[in-house]
Amino acid sequence: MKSLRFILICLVLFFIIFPLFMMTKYSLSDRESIVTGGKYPEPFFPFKPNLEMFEALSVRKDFAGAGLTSLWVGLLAVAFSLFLGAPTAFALARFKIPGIAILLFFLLSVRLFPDISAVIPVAELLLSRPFSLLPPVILVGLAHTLLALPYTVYIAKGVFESIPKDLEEQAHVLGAGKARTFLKILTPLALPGLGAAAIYTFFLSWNEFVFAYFLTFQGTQTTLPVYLLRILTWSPQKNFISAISLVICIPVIIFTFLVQRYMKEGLTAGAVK
Amino acid sequence: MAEVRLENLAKKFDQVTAVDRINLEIKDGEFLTLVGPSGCGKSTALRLVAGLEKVTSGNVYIDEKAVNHIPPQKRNISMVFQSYALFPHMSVESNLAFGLKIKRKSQEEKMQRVKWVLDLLGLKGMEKRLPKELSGGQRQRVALGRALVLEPDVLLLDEPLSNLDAKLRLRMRTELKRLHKKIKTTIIYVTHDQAEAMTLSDRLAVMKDGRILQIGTPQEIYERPTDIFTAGFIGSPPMNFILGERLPFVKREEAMVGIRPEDLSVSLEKAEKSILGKSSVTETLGSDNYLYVDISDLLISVRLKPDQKIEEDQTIWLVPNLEKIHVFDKSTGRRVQWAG
Repeated sequence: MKSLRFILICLVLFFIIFPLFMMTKYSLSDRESIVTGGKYPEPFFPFKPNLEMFEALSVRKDFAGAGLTSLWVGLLAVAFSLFLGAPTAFALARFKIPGIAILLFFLLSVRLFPDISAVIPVAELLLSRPFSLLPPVILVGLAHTLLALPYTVYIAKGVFESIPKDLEEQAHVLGAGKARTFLKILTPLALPGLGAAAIYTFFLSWNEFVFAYFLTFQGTQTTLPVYLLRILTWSPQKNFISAISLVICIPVIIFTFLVQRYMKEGLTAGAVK
Repeated sequence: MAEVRLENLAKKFDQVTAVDRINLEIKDGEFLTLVGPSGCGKSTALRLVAGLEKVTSGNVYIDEKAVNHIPPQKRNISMVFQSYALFPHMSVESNLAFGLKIKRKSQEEKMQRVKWVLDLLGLKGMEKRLPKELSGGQRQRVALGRALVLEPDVLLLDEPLSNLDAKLRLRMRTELKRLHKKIKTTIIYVTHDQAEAMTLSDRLAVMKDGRILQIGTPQEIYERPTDIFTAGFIGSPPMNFILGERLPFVKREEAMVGIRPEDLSVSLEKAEKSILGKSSVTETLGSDNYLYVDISDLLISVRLKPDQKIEEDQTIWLVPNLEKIHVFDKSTGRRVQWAG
């Protein structure tokens, strides 16, 4: 039993680590380690590892531009979806709303179609006036908000439901109005859960291709996934594309790390009983 | 400090009537307890006074001012919840100062009041701790302190001791009573524990099914319960109830007779106006010993005299103190006059 578990863990680790290893290996490879021409097998580790590809990337303005665009789009999507989603979720969690099930269903509806169908009406709307006057960063940010909002609402609803109602009532009895109670009591307690929603939204936005492509294919400013497609159309070298993939991972790791610090466990401990 | 008056106060949730037209006056500085079994509406009544529930009909007056439409934060009341509801992300100090901050008190006054409450409740040295780092009793005191620091007109306490272990509960009971003597705030206290209600209150209101059955001092209610429910609810061990026809000396039809364990004495010889029974187990509480007596399918508890010992399975006679027996109408449950 124990050895079976061990084997399974190794297997899972292999599937996680192997692609990462291959990406790292190629990104550090010299030309001879990739283009073997069938004369010798591809080495396990590059003959002459180097950082040339990363150096080449670091001076490419288009790559940095796409990265920055993606970052802004992601942060905007996080901000919009929390700003809209958290109060919505609070209302859904705390008040008796007739037809709440139907409301929640409609909230999810944009995710019920394949993205490729849902993108048409969304792009139609956002690419016509007055929306089309907005910069592409905001347009894509809005589209990603639309995609992330249902999840944000669902996650945040669970978060608010887990905060004892007594705390709110206690704040009222001590003289706090509704706004102060929301800001001073509920928000700090909900932050860890909302952090999870933020990470999810950022990931979604960072990865999202279809909506970003439809909204930005005409312009020069675009997000990383769309940029990646543009690069791939000129069949770049394996080591170059691997370096890009690796660099793309980094902001996600940093963002997760930053947000996770707020996700302290057991924040509501000691509140009741 | 203030008076509180409830006038025909009622609260309905959909089909259920939680509070059914109750009338109650709580005097300035009085400690009044609403006591009753769970689901009797006592907590709902308290929440109506706090403003946490909307009144269905009737009025709540605080100092002769109807407060039905005033939100809780403007009633100048304070409440301690059964769960304590401490803000888990704030230190003890911030919890205590929360209400003062809203009232925009000066920094100096805030510090002074917080210090006063820390001293009063023995919480010195805990200022910087988070609720999760406190024991149950300490949490309870912080919750109480947070309410007291605002010097409210009325202090509402919803079963504040029920989450404490038995020993701590007794200690906090005494502390609460001493505290009330010192600060003299009007207190409305809710509990299902009749012993708590008896020991703490100036007066208590016994509730059942949303209605108040009886209001009075603990002594009045103990000595002259006006109905069968109150009689059985107040007192431990509870009052014994015996059908009137089994007691030939109570000359009344359709009567239910209530006798407290201490109003019965045990005789080993046949006595006049007594009840024949067989002794069963004795419960020893240290100071008091209670004997259970079997009188054909009915178990009656009797407080024994100090040093009195009765063997099991003995034939004995129970002699009631006729001046202290309570007679109730069997169908209405109301107390009836009875001249022994």
